[in-house]
Amino acid sequence: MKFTNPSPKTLFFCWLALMALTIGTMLSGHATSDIALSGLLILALGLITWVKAMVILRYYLNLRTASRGWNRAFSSYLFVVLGIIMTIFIVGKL
Amino acid sequence: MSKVQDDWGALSRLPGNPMMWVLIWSELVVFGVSFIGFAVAHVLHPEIFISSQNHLNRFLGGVNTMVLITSGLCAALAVTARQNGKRRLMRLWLGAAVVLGCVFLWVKFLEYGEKFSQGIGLETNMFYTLYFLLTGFHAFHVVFGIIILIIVGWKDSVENIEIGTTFWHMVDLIWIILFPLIYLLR
Repeated sequence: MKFTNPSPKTLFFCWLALMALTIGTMLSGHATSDIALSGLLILALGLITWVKAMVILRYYLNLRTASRGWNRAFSSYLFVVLGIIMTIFIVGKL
Repeated sequence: MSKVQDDWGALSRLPGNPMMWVLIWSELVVFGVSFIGFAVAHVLHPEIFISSQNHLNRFLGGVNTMVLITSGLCAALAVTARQNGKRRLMRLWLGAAVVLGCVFLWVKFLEYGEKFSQGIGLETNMFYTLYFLLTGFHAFHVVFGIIILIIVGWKDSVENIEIGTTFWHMVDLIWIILFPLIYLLR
């Protein structure tokens, strides 16, 4: 298999995306106040976190050049773990 | 991550050193279980967790996330520079990654210092026990990662740089999940 690294330009755009997503995380999580989060915001936090983790795996760690099976394994595992965490928080609000 | 591995079975289909991916899986499983445990404890004791969490500086936690993400970019650019034979540039990027790692630790140190000065410690309540254990365990990884980056910057073969930066990205990945879980979810 050929493992070609992402170009500096691609890495820079990934960094920009990660910074924007972090701001999204802070806004969704009301980082400057103590108000409670709705189920929808909890779900948004989980999704943004999953996307950020995948960007780091696929570009910073170059997982995108690995086989499809490995990509699915990592994305599924993180999706399941984050899904369980978000479900626990949402169910806890009921 | 350019080296093609020969006889590692399915692990050969991953970029870089296969053993680093075994480490990444191990860390993701250990932290994953801990994160789910933290979520369960939070839901079982919401009053303790939310009132304690409200004393954390959420904004500073977000800023620290940006610091670590930027440090990850520097580490990734160091790999590209080394593969292109630009060793001086590689050392500059690695140096920047190390400095930003130290900034992350400094912010954590300030956070811990503030809590200790308020008389808050590991045994204050269940939230702070888990907060100090999880963030402290992660901070140890950051310290170890900085040491590794310094070593690979010195012994700077392409493979060493790839191994060192892989560890650094793993530390980044764990924090990406740790930050919303401990600071934001409520």
